[in-house]
Amino acid sequence: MIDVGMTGLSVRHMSLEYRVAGRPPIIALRDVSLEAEAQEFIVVLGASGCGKTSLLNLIAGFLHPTSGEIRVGGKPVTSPGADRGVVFQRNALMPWLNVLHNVELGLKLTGVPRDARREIARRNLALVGLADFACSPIYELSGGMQQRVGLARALTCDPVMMLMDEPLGALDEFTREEMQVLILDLWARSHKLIFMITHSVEEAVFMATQLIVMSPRPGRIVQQFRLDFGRTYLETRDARAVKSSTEFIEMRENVLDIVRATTR
Amino acid sequence: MMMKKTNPFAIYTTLFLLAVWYLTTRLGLINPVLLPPPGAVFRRFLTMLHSEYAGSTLFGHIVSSVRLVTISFLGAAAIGVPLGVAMEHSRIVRGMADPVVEFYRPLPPLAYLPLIIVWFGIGFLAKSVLIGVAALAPIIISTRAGVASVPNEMKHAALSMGARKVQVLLHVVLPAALPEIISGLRIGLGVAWSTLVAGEMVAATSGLGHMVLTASNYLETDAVVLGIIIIGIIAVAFELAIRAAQRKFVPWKGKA
Ligand SMILES: Nc1ncnc2c1ncn2[C@@H]1O[C@H](COP(=O)(O)OP(=O)(O)OP(=O)(O)O)[C@@H](O)[C@H]1O
Ligand SMILES: [Mg+2]
Repeated sequence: MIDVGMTGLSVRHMSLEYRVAGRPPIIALRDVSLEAEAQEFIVVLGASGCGKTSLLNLIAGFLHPTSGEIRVGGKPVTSPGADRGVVFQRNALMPWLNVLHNVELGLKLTGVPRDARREIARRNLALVGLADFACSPIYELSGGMQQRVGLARALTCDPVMMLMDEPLGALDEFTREEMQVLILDLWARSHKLIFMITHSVEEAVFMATQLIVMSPRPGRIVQQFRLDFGRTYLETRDARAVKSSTEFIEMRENVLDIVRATTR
Repeated sequence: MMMKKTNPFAIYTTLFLLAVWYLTTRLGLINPVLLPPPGAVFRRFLTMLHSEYAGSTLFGHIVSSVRLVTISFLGAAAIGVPLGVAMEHSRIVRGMADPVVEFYRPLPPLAYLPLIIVWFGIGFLAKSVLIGVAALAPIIISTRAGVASVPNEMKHAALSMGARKVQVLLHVVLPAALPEIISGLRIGLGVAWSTLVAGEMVAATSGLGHMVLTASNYLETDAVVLGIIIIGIIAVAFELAIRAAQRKFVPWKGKA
């Protein structure tokens, strides 16, 4: 096992039960363990209801495990914090703030002076290609652009890790592929640990350095892969070539079989 | 943004009703005591601009009513919005306030008016309590609905950017609930206005309700109709003012 030390993510023997009064508890996660170094790209894949969102919410600190322990950068997770940026499936941007104000909100709340936070926010907007939209209202942007604002916002507090729950789930195929490479670029540039959930096997295989396949009832990890198609892309800058290579297709079919087996 | 064009049928109907009013009274089809002709109402309007009727000029009655409703409504908003927020955040506050609100909310204000008169007399205070209490319920209820419907993800987003709980309330929950809070204020203002007119008919020495009731006691229907028209115009003005506030403060409503 790798030593994640003071920088990575460590989840040890974690279980989560949802207790609803008058019904037997739902075991959402049972004995989940995973370790990742800083700068890894973790992708979680699995059938609906296998506990992916629950796992993300636990790492983000929105939920507390029934048993087990989570550490990020060596520190136990007890509540949400600015060291873990979150990108939500339905972006969760604030419609009363314009693009720039959304992106700088976290810095404003933590007391960063105006000029300093503006500069950081503008830099992050430029990173996601939205420099020209700083003053637009959120509701005038397309879904893909809103999701980019969500990315820029999560980056702005300079977290150790980024948590993304199906960030591309609501996008069309073309925008989705654009966003995949955008996220890979952000990841390579910012040296952050990323934890991303997706339903797309191809996306998972393409982006992950550590691919985790989960299975439902009870939610658990059934298989882990170490991959490097994302790094290959970053070297060659040709996503189509990567995705149509024999190794990629083999791996994709292999993972697909495993996911299919878990839903049977 | 698109401006809504006035529906032409609304204009036709208005003109038609005015024409019917004019013709029926002009042709003597209706006893002028039951329905005075538009001209008589307009003459009453002109006289009341400078001379007193039922204790005050028309302007005096309008100022008296509008001031009373504004103060009572602002009071209700100042209590209702924070109370609604507190009820959603604290089980204790909810437990204490819920039975009271749920019990009096469906009561017609005139049902507890006598009690308010016994407690507070028939002055400004009594009426502002009556109106404030009536306007309070819809404000509390809409505020609660607004706060309850704030998506968890928005609050989570703020927390994972380092926000403290109070900041989540101020920077996320309140703005996100604002559309519904404003809807509640709109309903509350409507309720306040109708309660005011009713209250002034029972216990007042000035105001539009008082003017209409006095006029009806003397069978001076031109003053009654004038009063009704003014009451209606002010109600519409309030409605338009709140809609303007809505456009200004929640331009994202229905778009996010
Ligand atoms: N708040 C809750 N209360 C009770 N049960 C819950 C709650 N949230 C999730 N569950 C249950 O926990 C299990 C895992 O849910 P979770 O949302 O983590 O799955 P998921 O893998 O994210 O699914 P999807 O792919 O559909 O998003 C499901 O069986 C779900 O019904
Ligand atoms: Mg989910």
